[in-house]
This record gives sequence, structure tokens and C-alpha cells, in this order.
Amino acid sequence: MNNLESRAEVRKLARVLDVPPERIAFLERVDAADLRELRGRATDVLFDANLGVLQRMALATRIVPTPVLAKIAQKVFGPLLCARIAGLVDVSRGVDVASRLPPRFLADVAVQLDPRRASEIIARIPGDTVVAVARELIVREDWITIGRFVGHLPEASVSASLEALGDVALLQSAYVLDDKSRAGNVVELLPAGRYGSALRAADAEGLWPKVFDLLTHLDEPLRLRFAVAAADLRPDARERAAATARELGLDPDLLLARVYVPGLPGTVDG
Amino acid sequence: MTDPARSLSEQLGGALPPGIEALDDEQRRMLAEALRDARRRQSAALARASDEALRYVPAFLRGTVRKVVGL
Repeated sequence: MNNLESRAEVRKLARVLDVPPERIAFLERVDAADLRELRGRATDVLFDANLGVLQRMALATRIVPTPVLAKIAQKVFGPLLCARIAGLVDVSRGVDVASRLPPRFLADVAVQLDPRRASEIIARIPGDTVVAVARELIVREDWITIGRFVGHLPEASVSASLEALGDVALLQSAYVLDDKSRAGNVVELLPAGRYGSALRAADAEGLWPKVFDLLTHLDEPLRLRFAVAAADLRPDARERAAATARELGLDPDLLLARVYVPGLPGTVDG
Repeated sequence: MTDPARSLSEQLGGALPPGIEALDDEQRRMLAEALRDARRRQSAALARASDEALRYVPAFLRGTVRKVVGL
């Protein structure tokens, strides 16, 4: 376990319980896997409450044409009710309604949604809509919501969103990814130039802990991509990265190991 | 007084993860209260949203809709 992962879990649990993260900071010493289980079960409790009424409301929406339903969803239901009903409506109708709603409202719904319960709808939302919603969430700096959705989106939508996501937003969202086992799938989609720019952004914004948390979830070939990019960092930036790793009880070589990739300029045969 | 661990485990419908079980009573009680408060707030917000939605149903149909939907 690493404490960074538990800290990220505490922030996500605080969002579910709608309490300030400081109020449950005592959970930072609990294993991240236990916190993840607690969060999943608390989410289920909240989403299963009022389920009977919500199912009947979802049934009632069947008789309303989708253009009208989209208007009702936005003007009458509001984001919370939409988020709770989303997982209960027919998938194609859900996608049709979502495609008629403005990104700002969809972002409000996304904040309240449990992506596990509406994953079929989420997976079929057009890529340009996903990017528009992602942009809205970036403006709000809502990394937790972005992180919750990544595992439910098709690769093409994630790729397109990564272009919209700046380096700081990328690191912040990766830190709170709902399913950290997906971190590698996301990193793999980054264009070559992003590894270096993400590291420079981390140094400029004091985000080295987020970088090291990400590295602990990547396999060797992906870590190597960052290590290659790190070789081009200024010495003072490398020193700050190393100091952060040591503070976190991690090996600076996760990022700063001397690497040699045959045929790749900038790497060191060592 | 209610056992704080049981109160949280009752809400969650089963045994707590080991790391949560190992917390002290006060911390588990705090988590149980936070979850209970979140449920209350959510129920109230959903009730408000449902009532708001009903305002758009013609007055003579509201009773029937309430009954059918179970509001």
C-alpha cells in the first residue's frame, strides 16, 4: 500500500459522503483497498435508497418522447434526479436524451452519477460530447469526477479528452482515478511529447507526489517513458523530484533511473 | 448506546473491511453519522426534485401519478 493512494481514496470518499476531506482525514492511515471497498458500499447504499420510486419514475418516462424528456430532465428533474434515473432507463433512450442536453448540465449530472450504474450509456455517448463535458469539468477543476469516468469510456473518447486535458489536469485526474489499474491504459494513449511536458508541469506546480503515485501504478515499459523524459529535466527539477520521492518513502529511481533505450536519443547507456 | 461499528455495518449491510473495523469507536461512529446524514440529504433532495417534477403534471392527474409512482 502507499499512503498517497489512501489520501486519494479519502478525497473520493469525502465526495460520496458530502463532507470536507479534513473531517475524515483520520482514514489516511487505512489501507486504500479497504477505503475503496467502503466507498463502493457507501455509494451502493446511497444509490439503492429510494430505488423503488426511481424505478417507477424511470418507467413513467417511457411514455414521453425523448426531445420532451430532455427538456423535462434539464428544467424539471435537475441533475440529481437525472443521475439516479440514468442507470434505470433503456440505454438507447438514455443516450438519445443525453445527446440533447448541454455539456454544462451533463457535467452537473456526471458529478452525481455512479458511472458503474450507467456504464452502457456512458460508453455510447458521442466522443465530442464527452470532450465537451470533460472541458466543463476541467474548468471546475473537478478531477474526482473526471477520474471516476475514465474507466467507463471507450479508448477513442479518452484519447480525445486527453488532448483537452492539460498537463496539470492530467496529473490531478490520474491521482484520483477510480480504477488505478487503468492508469497504464490512459498513459499509453499519451502522445510522446506529453511525458516531458507533464513532468515539467509537475515541477512548476508542486505535483511531484502525484507523479510518483502514478508511477507506482505503471508497469516497467510505461515508467521507462517517463524516465526517458525525466533525463531531459533540469538538474534542480530532478533534485526536487528525488527529494519528494524520499519524503514519500519511495525510490527516486522510479523516475530518475538512468535508462538506455537502443536507438532512442537522450538515453544513457549505463 | 448503539455499537458504532454495528451501526455502520448495519447501514452497509455486512461486516466492515478490516481497516475500518480497526478504527476506534468515535471514528466509526463519525462515519456512521456521515453516511446517515448523506442518506437523509439525498432523500430530501430527491423528494424536492420529485415534487418539482409533479408541478408540471396537470393538477387533476397529480394524485394518480403520486399513487402510481409511489411518491
